[in-house]
Amino acid sequence: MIDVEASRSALVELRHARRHNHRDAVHWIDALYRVYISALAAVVAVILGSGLFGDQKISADDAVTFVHSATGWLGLAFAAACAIGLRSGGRGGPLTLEAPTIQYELMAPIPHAVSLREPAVKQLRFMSFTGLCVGAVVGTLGVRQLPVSPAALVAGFAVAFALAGLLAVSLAMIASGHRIGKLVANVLAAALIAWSAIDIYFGVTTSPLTLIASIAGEAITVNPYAIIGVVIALAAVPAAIYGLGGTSIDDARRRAGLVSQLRFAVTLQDIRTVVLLRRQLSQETPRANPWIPMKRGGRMPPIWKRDWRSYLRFPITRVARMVMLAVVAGLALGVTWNGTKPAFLITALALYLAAYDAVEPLAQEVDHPSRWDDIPEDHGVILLKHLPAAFAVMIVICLIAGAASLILVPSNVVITMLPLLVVPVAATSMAGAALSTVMGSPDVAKMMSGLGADVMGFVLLARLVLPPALTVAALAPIFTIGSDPNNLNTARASNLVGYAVIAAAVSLIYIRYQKPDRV
Amino acid sequence: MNKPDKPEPLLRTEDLGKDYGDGLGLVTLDLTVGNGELIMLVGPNGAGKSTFLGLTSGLVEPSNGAAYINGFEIGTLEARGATSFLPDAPILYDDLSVNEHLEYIARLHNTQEWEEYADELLEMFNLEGRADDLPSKFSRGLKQKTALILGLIRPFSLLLIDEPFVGLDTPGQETLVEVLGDLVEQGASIICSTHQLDLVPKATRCVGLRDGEKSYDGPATAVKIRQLVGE
Repeated sequence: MIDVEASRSALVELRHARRHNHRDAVHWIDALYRVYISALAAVVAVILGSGLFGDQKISADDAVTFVHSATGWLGLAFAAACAIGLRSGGRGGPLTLEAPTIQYELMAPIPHAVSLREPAVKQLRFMSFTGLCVGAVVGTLGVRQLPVSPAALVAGFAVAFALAGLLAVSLAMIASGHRIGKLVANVLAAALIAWSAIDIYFGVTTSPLTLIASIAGEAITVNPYAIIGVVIALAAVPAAIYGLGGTSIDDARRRAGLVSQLRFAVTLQDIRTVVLLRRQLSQETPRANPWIPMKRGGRMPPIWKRDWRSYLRFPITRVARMVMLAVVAGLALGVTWNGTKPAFLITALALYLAAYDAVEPLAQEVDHPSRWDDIPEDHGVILLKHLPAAFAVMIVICLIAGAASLILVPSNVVITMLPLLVVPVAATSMAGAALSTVMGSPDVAKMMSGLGADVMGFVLLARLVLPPALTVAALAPIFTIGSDPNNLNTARASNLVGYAVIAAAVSLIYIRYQKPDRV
Repeated sequence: MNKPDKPEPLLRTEDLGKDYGDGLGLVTLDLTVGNGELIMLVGPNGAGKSTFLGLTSGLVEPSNGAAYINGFEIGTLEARGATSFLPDAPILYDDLSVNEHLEYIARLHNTQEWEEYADELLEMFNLEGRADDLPSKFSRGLKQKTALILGLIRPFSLLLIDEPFVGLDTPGQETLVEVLGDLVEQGASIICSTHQLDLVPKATRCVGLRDGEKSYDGPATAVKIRQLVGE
């Protein structure tokens, strides 16, 4: 005889006991330390951000104009977050359960909607709180420039970000609970982004995400229709929670194994493993049939040919992601040109991420040390031979970025800078990604005994920061060309490019002397 | 869901199959299991044994066909309440002791008077001295014993076990054979994926799988099992 109510109350009671045990296991010093680190990070973000944005108060009229244009872009960012949520939901996310939870709790005679409610609420709470904090930090950045009550400004941003976080997770849960599938989820994600982009283009506020974004600027200009965004975000929560019963157990099991490994890899700063696990999580596997088959034989160098065979099996999602990253890089360059200088960091990061995919054939070599060791040639030279194909791919990516930047940058500026930057940026992005891949995960035990805890922290940070810093260095010349489109200072830019190329060359020398792990 | 009107076998699968996308886990399987059966599920690696057990437990979703436990479709509350599944790798919480695991699972399934039975199981598998320890720190064999006890502590009509003898010491294997025999005598049915010949005397039937399809369904004999495994 099934007694669902008894099982349900046992579940609630025993989960409560587990939480209690878990809380007891956390030392209060550890908890305080975590709070301290989070607060410190927020303070540093505010100080650095404030420095970048300046502190000159703008007029009330300028503030209204700023809010009008910024709302659209913020709405687009929120739409992107929701799109990520939808994509995750299409693949069974966002809930990540422990394997035993699936084995015992989901297999118990309790409706799945009931078993999954608590983890779902926990995730919704976490995301809305994170949104609240991030929004508050972002709002704080504008306090010195915008002529409004600081409290109202910070509150507006905090609420907007919290609602966006809530909606993103809710949409993911709705997508997984109703099993809408990858294709539909991707179409909906694209539609959301397109809607927000249309809002920007026409300067209107129609998308729910733009409406939510408009809450951030409520202290400056009131949009009564923003309430619609609030209602949509709040209505999505019960829809998400009550639809959870349909979540696929297959997906839950797959995610349970992968996400725990992913977290472990992130802890170890093992970026290659993170990339591989993330691909498994999103079921991004090489194509069974290449886009264009390459014939056997011929005189093409084997490594060059092997690399192109790898690219020709890239799944459409990876190709699309690389193109999208290139477009983002180009648009961020445009935003940089128009005055928001920190946006060039987005360009660098986007290109670096695209380069991570471009060095995939080299990464395959590193992933299979015994095979790499088996090739009768110097180990480092083999790695270097993988780079020309990656470089060629990055040239294409940089050209796409350049083309995308035309949307926001005068064409004569792009035409002047593109020949100057495309080769060094492609080379440094590729070198940075290759460097990071070849370095692998840090051997913490070895570093601890050799360097000690204090130095190790800096080394770990350097390992993380140096590879993308190469791309940042190659992009630095954009700040030396001046702001007059008709009078660009390319001489100074060329000098700076030289330093970036030297940095890339040093990376290649490092790669040249690498050996497989198990030699 | 209401219980079906006509008497139903304990387990009935119809054209049950799973396509993982990168190769078939199980092409198709029609199988009927009654009460009090101990079925040895046998086949070479990749034959589809684990997939079949996962499908029948409801942990793997079928690509085609369906399976019913006492007439209830797999995955329903009634089917989940009647089916206990032990996968090949022990799945255990990191933060619960053996005793805490037992209480959790027994109470999730609304098991009455589970405490005494839990003590019996712990004693049978020589785990009484480790009952308050975290199984996440156990050896493979002890984890396997813990997982077995967890599969047995809750009520069930159908026990699905995937390679339960792997990692067990000889006394553990003997105990398991005895326990499985006792369960069948009490009316439960067991489908056990194993090549362990010690189980043959207790087995009432053998189902062979090959390349995702049923290759044999008949009496369990040592000779037949060796043949099905491909030895």
